[in-house]
Amino acid sequence: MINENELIAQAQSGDREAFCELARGYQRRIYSLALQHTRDPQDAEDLSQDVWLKAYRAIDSFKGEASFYTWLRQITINTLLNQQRSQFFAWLGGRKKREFVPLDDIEPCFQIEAGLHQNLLLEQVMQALGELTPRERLIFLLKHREGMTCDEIAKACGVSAGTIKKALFRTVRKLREKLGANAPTDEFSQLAIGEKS
Amino acid sequence: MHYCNHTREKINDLDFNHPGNHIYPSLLADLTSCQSCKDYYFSVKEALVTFHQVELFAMPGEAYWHRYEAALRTKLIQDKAANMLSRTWLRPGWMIPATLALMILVAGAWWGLRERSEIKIAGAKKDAVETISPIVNLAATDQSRPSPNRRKREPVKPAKPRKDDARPPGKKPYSLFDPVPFAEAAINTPDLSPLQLARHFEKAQLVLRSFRNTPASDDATFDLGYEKSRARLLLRENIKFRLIAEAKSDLATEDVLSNLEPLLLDLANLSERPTADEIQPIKERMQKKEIVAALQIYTTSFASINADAD
Repeated sequence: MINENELIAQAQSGDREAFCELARGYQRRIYSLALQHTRDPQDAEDLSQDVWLKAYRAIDSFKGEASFYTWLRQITINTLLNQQRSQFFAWLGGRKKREFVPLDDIEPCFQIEAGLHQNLLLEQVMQALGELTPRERLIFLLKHREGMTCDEIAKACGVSAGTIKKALFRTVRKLREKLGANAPTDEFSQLAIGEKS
Repeated sequence: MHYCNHTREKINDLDFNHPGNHIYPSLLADLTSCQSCKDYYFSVKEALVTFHQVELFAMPGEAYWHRYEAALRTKLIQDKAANMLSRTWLRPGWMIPATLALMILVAGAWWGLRERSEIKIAGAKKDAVETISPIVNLAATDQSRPSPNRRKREPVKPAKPRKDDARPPGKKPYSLFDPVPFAEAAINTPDLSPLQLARHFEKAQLVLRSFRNTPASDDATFDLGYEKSRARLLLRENIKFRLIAEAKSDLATEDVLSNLEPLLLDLANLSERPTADEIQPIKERMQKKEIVAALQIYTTSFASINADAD
């Protein structure tokens, strides 16, 4: 079994198969991140493959200072941020904004075995993620899927740590309203800061 | 003292996994003492648990990944081919001379087109000055060189300067024979569009209304500076449009424009602070000709023609 460093070295010397082998190890994580960000399997596939293409072109620039996945994740973040911008310009140009794809339409791509409950849960989570702005969604995913710290997310997205913290705070509140079973009727958001309960 | 918002911020810090050690006891105390904070904490946790649960079963099956890898491999092959092509053709060695050559070609083409269009415009201007109308001819003559017959034609000047005119000494009254670029306007505007006319009539209508409704100041004069300046601008346009309408034999439009022109001329030639005696005759003429109503009708009709054309 060839280890990751050897695969990277082979890929840097132009071995496409070695790169494909490397991709095989991370493709699910990248795809999953893209899927939860775009909420559309086709977009997720396009985006994740775009990430791999960019990584393939830039593999020579990988120096091994951070882990391969950290390097790859930064490419993914940049791709997702660029996709947001291109979607914004497409929207400005009058193209129809992509709507949330109902679960019925995407079901053939999935192997959902757990039945009705899982379907409903998946739809609920996708809808809840759809309520967030693309940037909020990305920040939330980086925190809760990737386990990145506030400072790491701030560095990766090119904003301050305070901005990330505020965005995450808003995001968690929105998701809590959608997904939390015990969610009260948003009494907290109505309380003024410092108001005594 | 318990503050729900502070507790909520602490929960958020906890969520980030980097609260200070001092937060835990106080957070526990807060959550124990306040039921709504406790509910908030549990609902946040439940939301996150649901999210992580879904993450596990939202992934496609194994068959999908074979297809995915095949697609990726194809893309990598295509990308390599495209890269080789771009490396061959888009090398800096090729790019710099090619860009320079292209720039020289574009500059040459632009220069040639410019020369041709200048010759064309000069020829067209000459033809138009000779053929459009005697007034145009006169205006063009005024602009270019002093004519020996010019004095004989001057008595037709419509606006005489008033004795109490407070106009600054350098400015002479506005007249039809002022150098207005009629010929160029007529050439460069081949057709009067209904939209242009509708806009012109609307602007004129607004100026006339504004003039009609201006109240007198404390010293029994009227502050008509704005109307005057607008009338000057509109007069130029009006003359241009009238000449074009004349050249196109558009009698109806020409008639309206001809009725409007003297009024604009009088407005443009008003003194800075005219008295009621000065503006009363203009108002009477406006009323007699019912020019505002006529302009309203024409504006609507031209606008509707334009809408139909669209």
